[in-house]
Amino acid sequence: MNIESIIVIAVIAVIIAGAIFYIYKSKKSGQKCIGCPYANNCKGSCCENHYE
Amino acid sequence: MRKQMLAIVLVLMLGLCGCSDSQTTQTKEPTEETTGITETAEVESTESLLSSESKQEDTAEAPEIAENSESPAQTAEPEKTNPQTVRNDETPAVTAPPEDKGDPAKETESEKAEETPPAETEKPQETQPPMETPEPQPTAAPEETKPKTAYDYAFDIEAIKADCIPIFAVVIFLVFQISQNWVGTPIADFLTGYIDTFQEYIGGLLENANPLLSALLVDGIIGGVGAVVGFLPLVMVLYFLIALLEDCGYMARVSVVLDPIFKKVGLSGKSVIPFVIGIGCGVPGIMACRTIRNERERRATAMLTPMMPCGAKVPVISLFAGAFFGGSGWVSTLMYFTGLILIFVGALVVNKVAGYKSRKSFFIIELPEYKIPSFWGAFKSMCARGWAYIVKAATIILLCNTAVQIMQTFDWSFGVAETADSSILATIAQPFAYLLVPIVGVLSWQLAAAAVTGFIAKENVVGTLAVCFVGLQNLIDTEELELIEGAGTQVAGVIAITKIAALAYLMFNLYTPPCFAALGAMRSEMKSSKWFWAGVGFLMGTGYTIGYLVYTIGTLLTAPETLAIVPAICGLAVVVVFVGIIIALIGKTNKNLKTEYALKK
Repeated sequence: MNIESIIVIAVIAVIIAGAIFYIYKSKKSGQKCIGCPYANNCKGSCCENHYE
Repeated sequence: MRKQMLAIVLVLMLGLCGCSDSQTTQTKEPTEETTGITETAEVESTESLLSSESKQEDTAEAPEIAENSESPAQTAEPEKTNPQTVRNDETPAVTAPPEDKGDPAKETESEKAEETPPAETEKPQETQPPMETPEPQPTAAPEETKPKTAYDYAFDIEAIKADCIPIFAVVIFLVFQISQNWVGTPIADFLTGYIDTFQEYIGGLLENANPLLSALLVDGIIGGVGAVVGFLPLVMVLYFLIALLEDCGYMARVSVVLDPIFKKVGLSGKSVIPFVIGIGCGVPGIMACRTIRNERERRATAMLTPMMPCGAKVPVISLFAGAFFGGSGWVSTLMYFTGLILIFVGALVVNKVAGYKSRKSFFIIELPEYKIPSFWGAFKSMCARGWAYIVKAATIILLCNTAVQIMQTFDWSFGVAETADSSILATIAQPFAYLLVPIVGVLSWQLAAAAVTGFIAKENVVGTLAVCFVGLQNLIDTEELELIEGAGTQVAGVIAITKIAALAYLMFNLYTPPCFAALGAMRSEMKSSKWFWAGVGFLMGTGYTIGYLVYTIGTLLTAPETLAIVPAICGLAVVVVFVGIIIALIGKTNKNLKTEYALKK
């Protein structure tokens, strides 16, 4: 295994770990919709603030 | 070119301002007076709006009306300026059962209102006449004891409805023409060019790396996410235009005008907006359901919105139309109209299963004043939604693409698969291939794998077909997800199914659940596992049924000798089970309602 392959493995690992960490963090903070622009204003769900 | 586009949009907006009520300025003051009341102050009901005979509330009485919003029977009843009869043919049933027993706290005001017995439908004249009154109209004199007010004419939707529906069709056509052809596509081509260059650059850097790792990074991650991000300009332009339409007050009118049509199937005018947005992308379309306050309508709309062919399904339609039907435009038109029909049928089924056939909901909306939309506000809205799209592509879709790439590369012993047939993906797809035999007439794990990966993102159908069918990768531009010019017949030959089977397979892919992201949005909007799984099952059953019927009936009509009996019977059994479940649920609901009414007696 050459150095390029190791770099590729590292890059893939970082990308996947970053995606998983983002999803985990979002879920832990109560967001149900990953990436939802209104998710930060939600109380339990990203939808409740917008019924009114 | 951009200036021309901008000018078209402005002219369109101004035209819309002029095509309808020009006297809506009267609604502004009451809107401002209703501070502390919900933004969608329930000033008037559709019933009163749509009745040219009815009288609307005195604008000065808005706060009082809002206080009565707990009882729509009263809010629907305008405080009349003259004692005319209000048409109340859509007054809700008096003893309607509770809507959601397991979730009573979430019932909206309008739902509560449905349970309120209708109050008297006439009131004596209580208020002073409106501050502004128009000149008496001679045409109304024979039936009116008093001339109509300016307010009456401003909201005489009945009078302008005939014009509004064609205008709506033109507006929607222009929105999609602008977003998907005139503006969105050139920007998307520009962006895709950069993504391709970046992908090639990274591929060049990794020439000496392990080919599997290189393919995983370059094709799986960069290519997969890049393909999704490539649609971003189209989606953002669509978001921008929809935001403009919302801001100028047009979408509220559309909802009002289409409300009677959707009411016939148990929905309301508010369902129009998710369906329209769902044409661009199912996820924001389903998210738009949150504007529907009625719990059942919101869930039903979220369930049915994926039936509108979204932008991600366009490459699939283009592939099959080009390969099997010579690129005929009627294929995509048929897909959209079939989607609409399925929505109406689905709404009827949901209405029957949910047991609200005796109920009619109020669609209460304040029509905002027509105005020139805020471009800055629309831009901010577009950016927020675009960012959400990017985040989703960089997280969920990235992980899914990586998994698919790995499954396509390795076999179960985690060695490199010698042939595609021995890959993990092929093994997983094989059982689904048997399920697809009644739809496509042949046992093909490639078609099944494409359908399965299509649940991750519908664009995957094209990409997976290109990878799985030997020889097809040279006929499909996997970057653009479209056929190479003149390759349609060859693609049809490689896939080796009939035209009827291709149409059936296309419909199966279009009307089954669109992608995991849309399912997540559905789950979020429905807030009920029971409704969510029922929705998934309904979409799957509908897609399978429509695919089976198209293939079986089409084959019987064109080449009956080619129809395999055993798969046809198996497919029929699946369809019968699906229909039987629905009928059983309807029967159960009717029985419960009967019992409930009996107890109340």
